Amino acid sequence: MSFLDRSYSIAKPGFNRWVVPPAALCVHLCIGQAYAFSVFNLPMTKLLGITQPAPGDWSIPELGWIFSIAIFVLGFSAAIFGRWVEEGGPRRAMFTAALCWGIGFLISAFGVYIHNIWVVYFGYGFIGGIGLGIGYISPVSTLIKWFPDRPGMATGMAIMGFGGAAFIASPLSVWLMGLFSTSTHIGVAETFIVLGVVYFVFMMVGAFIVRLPAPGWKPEGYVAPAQASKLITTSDVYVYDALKTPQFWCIWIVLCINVTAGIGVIGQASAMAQEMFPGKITAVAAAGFVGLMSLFNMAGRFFWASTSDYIGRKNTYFCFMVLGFLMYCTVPYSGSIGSVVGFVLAFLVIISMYGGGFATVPAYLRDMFGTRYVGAIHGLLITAWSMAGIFGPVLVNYIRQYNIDHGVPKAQAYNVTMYIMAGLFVIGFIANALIKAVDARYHMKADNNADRAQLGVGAAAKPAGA
Amino acid sequence: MLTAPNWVSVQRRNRLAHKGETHMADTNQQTGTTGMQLALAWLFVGIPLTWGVIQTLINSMKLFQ
Repeated sequence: MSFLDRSYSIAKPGFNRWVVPPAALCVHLCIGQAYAFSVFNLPMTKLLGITQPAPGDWSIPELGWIFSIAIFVLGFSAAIFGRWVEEGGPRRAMFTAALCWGIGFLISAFGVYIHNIWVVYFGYGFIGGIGLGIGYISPVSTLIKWFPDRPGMATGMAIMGFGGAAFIASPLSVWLMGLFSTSTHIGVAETFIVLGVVYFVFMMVGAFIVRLPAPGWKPEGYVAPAQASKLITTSDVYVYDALKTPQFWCIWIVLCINVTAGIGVIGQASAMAQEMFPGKITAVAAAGFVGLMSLFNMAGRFFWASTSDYIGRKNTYFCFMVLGFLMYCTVPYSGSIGSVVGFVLAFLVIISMYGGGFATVPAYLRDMFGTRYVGAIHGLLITAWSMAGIFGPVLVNYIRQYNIDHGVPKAQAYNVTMYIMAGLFVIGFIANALIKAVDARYHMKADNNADRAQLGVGAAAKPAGA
Repeated sequence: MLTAPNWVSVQRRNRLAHKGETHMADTNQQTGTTGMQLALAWLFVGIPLTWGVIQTLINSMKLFQ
């Protein structure tokens, strides 16, 4: 398996760096399927009863855990394997992600076949979740190294794929289930097998075409800044030293708040639209609204990350925090005056910033901590996503239920949540404002940097304090 | 002075380093990316993504009906 080694994926002269974003997209377009897992929920509640749930069939709350486990494991596997991904190189990481993701589907197919939910939890949730975590961070630092002139745009393109994957996975899964289903059988297991194989092959294409730039490579005409600017360092920070800096935790808070604000409404968008505008937004129109939100989620990843290359990462997050505050304050007002347009526009802006936050953060980390360990540090930061995955839905769903239980009309049941979200953006604004350049004592020593630059690896890295 | 196990590990490291250098030299002699390879790479990811976006866009239009 030596072809997976870092040294075997060094690009030869004449290699076009624009091949690397499609390689990254090969991975992200597959693992982003997680966002479309809900299409299996209803069919999986009728595996025994076929036309309707029978005794012994799985319930929706039981099935909901599959996605939750996968996202939880994503965050923690990205944090645990981040350094290994960085030092082993992108090809090894993409191969491992493809293997975990594909095998996760196959184990889940077996779980569906024997009708044991714990096997599905283990397959898709745990093994697939590890594939998600490794796959999510695997191309990030490679893209940053290939595009030092446009790091935001480069990572934005890859992470856009994660947001857009559900567009492919959702209709594909529905079509496959239709193909394998009969009057006496629901074809979920067969669909999992096909998806596992197809995703493995697709991700392996990415693993084969990905390349690392040769040590010292620079894009033609690009002149690296000789001195660090105010918020863009030219030094590197060791992965675990980054955890000791206040900058890491400020970015963690900002990302967690930005994701909390978006993830809470994503899951509840359809019901929220119908409840806030009874009679005006039908179930069909609400489904259209959800589709439009996912398009803005994807487009926002590319738009905001690319914009950050021009206006700077800190300013981009200022935009997120200020606009987020204003938009969340606008939603209850739009509801009170019955303005569907205002409501839809506000959420489209919010959701574009939700995607934009994910896509811009790798470049923010690169600006703060350098390129050497950016993938590993990004892996650690992803834990903010796991936490937001708990906070967001809790804020939206439980406060709504509490309000309804205390006699608040459904149309106004979300107002308190909206103001809480706006308040969170104020905290995020302060955290972002506190971000300054990382203190030089955390920078890695120059001699170690030179050694590793020569080797083209980070394995010999020694932290500043070592 | 190197002890036996250290000597073995140094020899092994040298062999691996030589192997890596040879491989890198081989790859550096090959030609670069062609326009066709670049187009194929983008089409490979672009076609399914565009198809998915169009499907979603069609469904989203229900909001305005």
